[in-house]
Amino acid sequence: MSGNGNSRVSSTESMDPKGSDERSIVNIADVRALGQEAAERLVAAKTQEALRFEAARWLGGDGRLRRLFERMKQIEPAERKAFGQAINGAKKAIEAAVAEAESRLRRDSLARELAVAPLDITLPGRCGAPGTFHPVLATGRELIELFRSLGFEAVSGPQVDTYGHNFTFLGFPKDHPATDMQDSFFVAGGGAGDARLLLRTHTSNVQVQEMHRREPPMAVVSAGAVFRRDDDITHSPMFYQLEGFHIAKGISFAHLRGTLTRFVQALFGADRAVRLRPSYFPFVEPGAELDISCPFCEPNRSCRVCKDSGWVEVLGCGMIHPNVFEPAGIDYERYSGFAFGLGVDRLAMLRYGVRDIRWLYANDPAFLSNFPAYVAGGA
Amino acid sequence: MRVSLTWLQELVGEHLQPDEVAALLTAGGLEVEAVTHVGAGCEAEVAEIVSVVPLASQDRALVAKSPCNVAAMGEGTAREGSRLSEGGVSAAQPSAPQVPGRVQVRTMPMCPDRGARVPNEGPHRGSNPVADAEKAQAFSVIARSINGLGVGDKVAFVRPGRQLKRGHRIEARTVRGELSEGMLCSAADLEIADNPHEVITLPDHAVGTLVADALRLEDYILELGVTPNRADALGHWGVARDLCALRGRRFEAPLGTTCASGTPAIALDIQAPSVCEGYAAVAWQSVCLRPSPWEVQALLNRLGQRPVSNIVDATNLTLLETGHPVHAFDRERLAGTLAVRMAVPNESITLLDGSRHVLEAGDVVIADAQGPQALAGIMGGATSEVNASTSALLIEAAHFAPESVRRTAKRLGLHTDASHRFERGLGSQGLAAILATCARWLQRLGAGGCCTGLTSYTSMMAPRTVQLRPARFAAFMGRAVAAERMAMHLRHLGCEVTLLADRAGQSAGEAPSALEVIPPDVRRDLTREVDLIEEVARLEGYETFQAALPALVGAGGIAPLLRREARAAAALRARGLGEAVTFAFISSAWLKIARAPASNWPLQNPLTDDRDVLRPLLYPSLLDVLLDAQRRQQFSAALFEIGTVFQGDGASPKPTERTHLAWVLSGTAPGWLDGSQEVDYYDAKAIVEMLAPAGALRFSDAELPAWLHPRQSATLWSTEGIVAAAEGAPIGWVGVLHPEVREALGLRGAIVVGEVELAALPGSVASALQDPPRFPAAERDLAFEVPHALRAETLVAALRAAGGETLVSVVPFDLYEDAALRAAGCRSLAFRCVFRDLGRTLTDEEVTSASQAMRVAGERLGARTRL
Repeated sequence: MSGNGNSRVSSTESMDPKGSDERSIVNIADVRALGQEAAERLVAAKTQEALRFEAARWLGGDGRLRRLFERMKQIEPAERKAFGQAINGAKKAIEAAVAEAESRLRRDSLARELAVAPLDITLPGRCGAPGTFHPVLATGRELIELFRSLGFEAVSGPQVDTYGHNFTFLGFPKDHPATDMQDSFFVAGGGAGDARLLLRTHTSNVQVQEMHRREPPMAVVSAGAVFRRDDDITHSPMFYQLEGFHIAKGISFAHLRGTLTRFVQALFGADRAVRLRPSYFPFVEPGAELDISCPFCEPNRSCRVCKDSGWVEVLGCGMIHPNVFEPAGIDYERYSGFAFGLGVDRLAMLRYGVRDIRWLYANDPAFLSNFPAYVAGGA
Repeated sequence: MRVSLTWLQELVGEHLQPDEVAALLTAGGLEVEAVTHVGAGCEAEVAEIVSVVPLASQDRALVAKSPCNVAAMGEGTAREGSRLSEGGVSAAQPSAPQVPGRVQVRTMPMCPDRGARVPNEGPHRGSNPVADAEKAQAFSVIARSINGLGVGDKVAFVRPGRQLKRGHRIEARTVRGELSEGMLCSAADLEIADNPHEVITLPDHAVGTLVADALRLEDYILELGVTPNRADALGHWGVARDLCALRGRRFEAPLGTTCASGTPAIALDIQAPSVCEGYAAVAWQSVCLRPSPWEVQALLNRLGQRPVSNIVDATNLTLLETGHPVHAFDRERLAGTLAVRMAVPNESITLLDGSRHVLEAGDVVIADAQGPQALAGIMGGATSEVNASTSALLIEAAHFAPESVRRTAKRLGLHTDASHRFERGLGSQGLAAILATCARWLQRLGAGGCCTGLTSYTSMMAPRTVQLRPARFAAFMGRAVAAERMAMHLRHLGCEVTLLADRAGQSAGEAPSALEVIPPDVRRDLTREVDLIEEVARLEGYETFQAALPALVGAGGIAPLLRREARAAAALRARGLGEAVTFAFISSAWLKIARAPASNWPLQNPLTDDRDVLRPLLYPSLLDVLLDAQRRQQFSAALFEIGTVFQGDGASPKPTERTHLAWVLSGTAPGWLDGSQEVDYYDAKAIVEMLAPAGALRFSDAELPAWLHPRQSATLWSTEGIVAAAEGAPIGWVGVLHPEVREALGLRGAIVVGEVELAALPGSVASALQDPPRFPAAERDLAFEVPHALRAETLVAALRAAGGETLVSVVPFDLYEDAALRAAGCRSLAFRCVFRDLGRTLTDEEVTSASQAMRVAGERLGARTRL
């Protein structure tokens, strides 16, 4: 479409009472009237497109004002200046009207955009629902990051290991109750004695693996699945543990306490009290259990978690036993180390208030939906 | 193990508060798991029977519902009993039918002062002592059983308004028009023994005495969690020894009754000295078998032992006191020499609990001329069991090797109080003191008679000496403790300690360089320096050692695969998938139905048949989870698991463990606004495209696994992971679950799955960094009708090749099929092509000519241009 066909213009302007052919314009008043008419038409434009069309008809290279200028030479020289000024005046008026119409149309358009029927803002988003995290794995990964920040290196270890790595090299006495057929899952295909294969019963096999592979100093942490032949409300045949140890010259019980206190306070808050009490694990001595002041106690209420003792058992730890150093060929007189192990499940159960360990491994979608993986939400 | 606080107080000679003892023992390594206050608030008193009249039998039912509810009490005690006396005989049954009756009793006026025993009493208590005293003389009680009761017997009686125990008040009540004023107590009511039926009689106590005082019923029971290294703490002596040491002094065990006789008790033949370091026995003549006094029965019951007879009770009390088991034989049933020997294979023995066992060569027995009379360290035999006609005893205390006792007990499934202790390692040096303790109990329990002989054997063993260097202690614990102080702690535990001077000739007053320590025989766990370090540390108190942070030895690194696991999990969760954890073992039958490869790694002792092998792949586990979800009417699921799989053939020494990532999507894809579309291949493929750069992964239909739809699935190939993929094998696969597998597993709806070895996924592809472009790009769209045989991969490669250097990307943006296209064996594919030159703005002509060349290239492959 173009805006310069006269016939077309005439036809669209047939409503004009005066007839606005510029050939009939002979005086300044007419010019002004023409400007006035243009302004009115522009103001009446209903769309951006109509406005553009109308503006081009007046102001374009072949527009009516241009043609008025062309008539200048027919005007008396004495009137030319005034006539020219009148045309310029009309032009300015038209330009102003175009600008005003434009801004009016923009306003109208925005107003229409804003005047739509309101959305139901309570309906869910298209598909933004996050997945779910697993409380045990998420806790394990978080613990690993925490120990990395304390300088420990994160590694993984085999789940099927030899009897030797799982028991003997850790200093378990022969015929220790934990080595029972009832307690371990044995895997077919291994050798005899220390070469028998089993599903590891704890992550301490990683300690053996790393001590046999590296030279001190070393600080290592590892988490993963472990297996015991138990299945009840407090035992799952597979569960998760985390093991850490630090071997160097001059490592003492004080370092054990310092490191684990830092860890506990990072996890449970700086106001947690930490208590070490003597306990026994074959691969550490002195051995200890670490309790924290119960984070779940409320004033004047009975506490289900600590059974009102005020303390919650968190992990087992101790100074690495010479029985573990010796088969690894590390000199017990030159080096010392501490080690600790904790139940990731237990910690996850404490954190999230899970009462039955089997829920953790049932993969019930309804249960897992307790743990949406929001960016802003915890683990 | 259960410990009686009153007994412990008697042994240490101090009155200590239960909380104080619990805290001290726990801090010292004997964890007190629970403290129970027993016998508290019992206001039963001794009363004398004035008359007894049987009730008509029809009243029996009502009587049974008397304030002391027989059923409820019986249940509670029976449970306790069965839990605590493993292998013991079940609760005694009443020997005669119960005859209920009316009993008149007489007691003393209640002294108001006595009310002070239980502070929170009712208003009548002590408020009007005179009226109380006048009324309280006689009571008429309906008793459940009057068996064995007669006029003049003294019974345990609770008068109306008083408590049987804390929270259990007895009131006078009317039973079918007859008033019952109070209650007569059975042994079970008083928590003395299991028998809930018979009313107990107390001939030796004065009328009006509080039964709780007379029988010392009030006590605190400490439940100790004794760690397996502390065999010494499985008796009151051991606990007392620790308690004293923790309070800074040495425990002295009470003396027993020594045997005056110089004659041997029996001819002894130790044939297996390797499993028996010591054996001692005393003979005891003219004994009298009878029930133990109530007071002792009550103590035994509190500690979880069922009272049997004074002789058996004496042996049990010796065990509870010293921690060392003793066994009483009926002397007259033993013939000839008593031997400690290895069992002859296929020899058999019937034990006290009536069980019969065929023995093997490794088992150790105590045998006489007739055969085995006891399974060493586990249980005595039935033949020589003490019984009502026993008049002479042979009581043994011995040492048996832990491994041997453990092996036999385990094989025969006999876990007894004795085997529990022998397995953990007992001493062999103090056997005489243990027999003397037993003798003391026999006397106290009225067994009568006297000791007529003693036989003992001990293999001579050099004392174990262990050195403890104060300097080593200080370095190890981070704090020094003076040598003299360490010596003091160790002596409190029963060690003999010598302070060694420095070799270089040390002058007086200088610190000793080492302690030479001989631990007591009962502490067989103390064999090395570090054992002594632990002893000193725990007596000092772990809490007295300060905290310090060690110097860092590493930078907190992480194994690349672990990093990849964490990232993959985060990415998949962000995409809306839920993280699952399944077991490493799975059912071999399920694997088969899922068409997965069979596992080469069966478990030797699976917990259940449906978890009998280690899994070779993850997807069968996830399909199992999916089936569970579908059973819960959850048909749309999006799950993933990162877990270990166990591969490698049976010829390798151990399984090859690989970390796999598997995912399963089912039902409708998320996104409710766009209509519900079922998940398909492209949903599953999108997951793996998020994990690794597309260019480094190849999708192929080669080696397609049997559990996937043959036309809607792909295998994944790469050679650039953290670990190299196996030769000629894909690193994973993705696609639609084979409809036959779906049916066979009982699954429904659209199901797509994928699995990949995480470490084999290619990482980021190294390429030169591109500067941000300074000139605009131009786009052209190309649409083709593409025959099914022509894959997009091939077509795009041809388009890329034809597009020239300025072609930046070719990305599909529309896939369209209709009946006509399908009939023609085609689908419509449209690509958006982007062109850009880094140095200038491309002209329209250049772009048109490049896209024209691409169009031609596409057509050359058989694609037809759509306009």
